[in-house]
Amino acid sequence: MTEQILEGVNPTRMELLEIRKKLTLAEKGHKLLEEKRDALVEKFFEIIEVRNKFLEEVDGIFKDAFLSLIQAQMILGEKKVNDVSYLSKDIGDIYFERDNIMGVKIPKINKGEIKPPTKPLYGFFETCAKLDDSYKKFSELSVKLLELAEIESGIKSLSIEIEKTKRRVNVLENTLIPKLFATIKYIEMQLDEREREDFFRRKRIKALMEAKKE
Amino acid sequence: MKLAAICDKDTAVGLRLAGIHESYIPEENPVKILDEISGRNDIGVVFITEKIAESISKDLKDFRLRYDTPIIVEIPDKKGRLEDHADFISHLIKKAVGIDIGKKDR
Repeated sequence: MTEQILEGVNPTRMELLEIRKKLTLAEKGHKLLEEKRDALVEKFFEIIEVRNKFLEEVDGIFKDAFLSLIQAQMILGEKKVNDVSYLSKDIGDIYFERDNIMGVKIPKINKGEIKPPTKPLYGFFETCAKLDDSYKKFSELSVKLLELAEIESGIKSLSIEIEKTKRRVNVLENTLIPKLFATIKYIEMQLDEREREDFFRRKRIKALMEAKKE
Repeated sequence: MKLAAICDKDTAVGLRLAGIHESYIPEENPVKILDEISGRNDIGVVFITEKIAESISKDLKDFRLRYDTPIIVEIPDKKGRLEDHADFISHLIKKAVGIDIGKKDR
């Protein structure tokens, strides 16, 4: 692979200094971005761990909740359970806030308005204990699900940011920095070449002058 | 903002008990519901059962990449999680880190 140099550079000393400055900047940026990427990945792993734990918990509760629900449906009949389900209170509204992890904005759910589960609103006269179990489990679930939603959207933002950072690091590492190096080499070679030419020219002129004198 | 769910009938009953009253039960094409939800802007979180998520996985992916809200969360239905369903988050993790981590054997 031939090394590519930056386009439109003149092989002058000024330009060389300029490009050297650019190279130090690029290297500094590369180091910083690399650090950012590593920190983000570390955070990412942490959040994944939390999410997996949460998922397991939620799945467990879901399983229990559905089991009780199905049992309740068996005892009371599907229609009755369906009717009763409309009698629960609405969970209330949520608000989004912005949280910040390493400069990545992730949504945070404000659960201030969420009402904690109350006693079941349906009458106990026509329902059964299994329905109560199910109600309890599902109420427990709703808050957990919101937290899961928060975590998952955090994962989404973080992963997008990680990809962006990764791409930037790669561009610097594989394209820009080699290009700058190649350009510096090219300019140095050109300058050297010019110097040799000059030197040779001077020698030649000197020789000519001496020849004329004699 | 409100919470909503796209799920089957039984899950809807369960979620109603949990206080999530906005449930859409797809009859034909779940994509339509997705469009409807994106048209409303008072919904903050959408819970979708894995079975439905699987059937519209491509549209759902586009949707999630396009919009930050509503947040979409995949939940199991009464039969539990699907066996080999790759959910969106695991997919993202794989793409960002390069490997599958934390995917437990179910």
